Amino acid sequence: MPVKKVDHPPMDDAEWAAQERGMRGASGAGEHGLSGAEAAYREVADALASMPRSEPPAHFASDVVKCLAQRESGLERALSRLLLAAFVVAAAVLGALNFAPGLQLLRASFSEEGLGWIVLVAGCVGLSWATRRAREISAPPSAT
Amino acid sequence: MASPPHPTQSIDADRALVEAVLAQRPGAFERLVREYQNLCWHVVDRMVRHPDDTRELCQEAFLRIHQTLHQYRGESALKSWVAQVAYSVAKRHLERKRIPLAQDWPDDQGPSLAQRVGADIDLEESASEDERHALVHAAVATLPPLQRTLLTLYHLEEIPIGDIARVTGLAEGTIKSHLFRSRKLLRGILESRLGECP
Repeated sequence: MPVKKVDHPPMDDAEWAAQERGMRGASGAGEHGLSGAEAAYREVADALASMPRSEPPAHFASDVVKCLAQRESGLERALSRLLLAAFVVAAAVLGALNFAPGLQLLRASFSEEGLGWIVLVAGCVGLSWATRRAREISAPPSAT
Repeated sequence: MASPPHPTQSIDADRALVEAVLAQRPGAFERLVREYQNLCWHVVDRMVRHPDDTRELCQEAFLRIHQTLHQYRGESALKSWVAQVAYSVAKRHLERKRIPLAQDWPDDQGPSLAQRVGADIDLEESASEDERHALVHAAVATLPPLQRTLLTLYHLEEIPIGDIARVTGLAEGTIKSHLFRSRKLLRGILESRLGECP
């Protein structure tokens, strides 16, 4: 939603200057010889400068840092597990291709193309499992 | 009284703090939050006027600041940059809640607002400064979020109009116009309330 278009009637430059002089008067600079309008605006500026300021709670900064650490560690953990899972799947596939005695039988039974499909399907299964695990790990505690 | 730091020194200090955070030096980000939490809180609180939302949005603002801090080039004060993120987070919150950010300035707003605001505050010619200030504070609270925030940035945080333009993305003329009309309205309220006294 954009900021609502507001029509700005022309500003009275002399009054703007009085507002600014009143503000400077409120801050203690050039407070002598203020006109009526300037003195009125000094009072407005005084009041604005004394507006109540709410403060953040005492532990706000440390809470933000804790929240950041939790977010980062959650993401880091999810990524490491995803990488580990991908590594395990890749190692298993490579091992099976090169060293498993049963693979020779498999190779004999399937064509090269068929074997490629089997490896691809196994990879997909492994990847979807790893993704699901990563999502479970990175989900907020209330959602689990 | 100690004089405020020169702008160049201040920018150098900002750059050093940002570098420390980006280098993940222990305690650096917490120091940044501590330094600017009041500013962020004032901007967001003035926009949304809800303590729980303010806390959540300020937290979101600082997480976003941490995430995008590498984009800070040190060309302007970090204070303005923090205020910009706080303003943008609060603005998006108001947009989601469909709360209008600014309103037109109808010519008859002054008297009606003057009658409405501080009806329970009985001002006399000799009203104390605190009472007159309370009337102005009550009037500011009834202004739309944008006008409230501009008054806060200019008068409380003492941010120059050029920097407020960067913070809000508004033209300097628009900001001046809002400030002008808000202050004129507040003056009118003060004078009309005092004028009602016998």
